[in-house]
Amino acid sequence: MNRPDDKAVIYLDHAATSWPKPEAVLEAMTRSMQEEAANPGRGAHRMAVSAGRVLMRTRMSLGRLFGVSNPNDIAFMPNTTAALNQAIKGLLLPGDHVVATMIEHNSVRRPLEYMRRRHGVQVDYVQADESGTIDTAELSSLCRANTRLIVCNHSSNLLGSILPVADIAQIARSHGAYLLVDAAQSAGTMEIDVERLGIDLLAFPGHKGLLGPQGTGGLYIRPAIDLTPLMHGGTGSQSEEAEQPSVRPDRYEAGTPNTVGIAGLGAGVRHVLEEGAAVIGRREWELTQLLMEQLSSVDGLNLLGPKLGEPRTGIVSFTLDGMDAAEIAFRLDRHYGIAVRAGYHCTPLAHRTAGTTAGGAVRSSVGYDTTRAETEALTEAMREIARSV
Amino acid sequence: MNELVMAFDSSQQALRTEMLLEDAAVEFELVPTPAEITAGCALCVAFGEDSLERVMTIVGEESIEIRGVFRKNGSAYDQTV
Ligand SMILES: Cc1ncc(COP(=O)(O)O)c(C=O)c1O
Repeated sequence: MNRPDDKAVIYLDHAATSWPKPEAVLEAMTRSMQEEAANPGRGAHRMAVSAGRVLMRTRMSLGRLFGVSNPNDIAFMPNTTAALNQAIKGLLLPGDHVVATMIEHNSVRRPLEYMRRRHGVQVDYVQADESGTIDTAELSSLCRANTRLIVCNHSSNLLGSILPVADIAQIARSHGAYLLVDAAQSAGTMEIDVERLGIDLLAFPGHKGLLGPQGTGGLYIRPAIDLTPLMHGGTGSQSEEAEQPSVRPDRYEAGTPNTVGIAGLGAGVRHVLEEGAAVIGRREWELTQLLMEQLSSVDGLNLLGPKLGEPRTGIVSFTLDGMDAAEIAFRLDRHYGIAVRAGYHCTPLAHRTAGTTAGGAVRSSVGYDTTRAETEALTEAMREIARSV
Repeated sequence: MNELVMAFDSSQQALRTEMLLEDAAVEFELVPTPAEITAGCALCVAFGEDSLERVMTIVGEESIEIRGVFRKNGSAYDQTV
C-alpha cells in the first residue's frame, strides 16, 4: 500500500509526543547548541547571559500563551510528570484531602496514591461516564472541610474528552481548595488562560502540543502559592545560603536546565502563538470527526469517547471485536507503516470506565500537520484488518 | 552616567528586567554585581538617577523581585531602595 505524502511513517501518535517538529524548532535547537548553550544563571559571561535570555524568552512566550502575566511564575520541568509531582508533593500535607477523577493519568494517580500511603493524605476519585465526562455536582459533593486540592486533566489521554475546567475551578474556589490542571493533552490545542479559567497550578508538557522536544515541560504556580521544592540544589543564585532560595523561578529550578530543549520549546510555542491554539485545535477536531465517520463504517470496530459532533481533542481510540489492541497496533505498524499506541495508556482507571480493561484499546491521535490522506490510510488499513478477523 | 545599580536574587529576574527596560526604551546597562553588594545573582542592571522612578514603576507593575537599588559612594554602595 502506498503511503501518502512520502513520509516514512504515518505518525498518528501525537498524544504521546508530537512528531515531526516544525523546522523552526530544529533550527532554534541547532543555533542554541552551536552559539549559546553555556550554563544559564551560572556566571556572567556573555554566553551564559545569552543562554539565560533563551530561558526568559521561552518563559515569556509561555506566559503569553497561558495568560500568565509574570513569566517567572512558570518553572521549567523535564515533562508533565515532573510538574505534577512538584505540584502534588509540594503542596499536600498530612491530613489534607484531595479530589481527583477516575480518568487521571498515572502521573496524577501514582503521586496521589503515594501521598495517601506515606503521608496520610486522603484521596477521593469522582466517577466518569463512558464518554469521559464527570458530574460536577458529584465532584462538589466529595469536597470536605479539609479538601486542599482538586486535580483533573483538561482532556483525557484515552478518550479525548474535555473536562469543564472553569466550572471545576469554581467548585474548588467555593471549597477553599486549589485547582491543579493536567494540560498534557490540551496545551497548544485549546485556549488556556489561567486567570480566566481560575487555574491555580497548571502542569504542561513541552513535547506534545507545544511542539518542543522531549525533556521539556513546565508548571505554572499562582503567585500566592508556595510549594515545597522537590529538588534542592544549585540555582546559580544565593549560593551562600543553605536554604533553597524563595525567589522564582530559581526556587523550583535546581540544577542545570535543558537550555537547548527550551530553545526548541520557545520556537514551538511561537509556532502555536502564530497559528493560534484554538485554530490548531479546530483543525484537529475536524480530522477526528472525519476519522470517526470513516472508522464507524468498519465492521466490528467500536469507537470510544465523546460522540460524533461533540468536543474532543485530537484523540480517537477504538477497539475491534475479536482482536487485541496490541495485535492491531503491531499490524498497523508492520504492514501499513502507521504508528499508533495500544494498551492501557498509563490510565487503567479510564479503561475501567470505558469498559476496555480486557484487551486495551488502540489510540490514534492527530497533530498539527496530520493530513486527511493519513487518516484515510488508517481507515483503509483497519478495514483490511477487520476482514481478517 | 549610570550611577545606580539594581540587584537581584535570580538571573531570570535580572534578564526579565532587561527585556522590560528595553521595551520601555529606558537607558541602562547590564553589569556584574559589585562585590560590595550582597545579592543572589551575578548580574545587575545599572541606570541613571533620572530613570529611577520609571524603573521602579515598571518593576512594581511587573512584580519583579529585586534585592535593592544601590548608589556608589566612594568604595562602598549605599542602598537607596
Ligand atoms: C493526561 C496526561 N497526563 C500526563 C502525561 C505525562 O506526560 P509526560 O510524558 O510529559 O510526563 C500524559 C502523557 O503521556 C498524559 O496524556
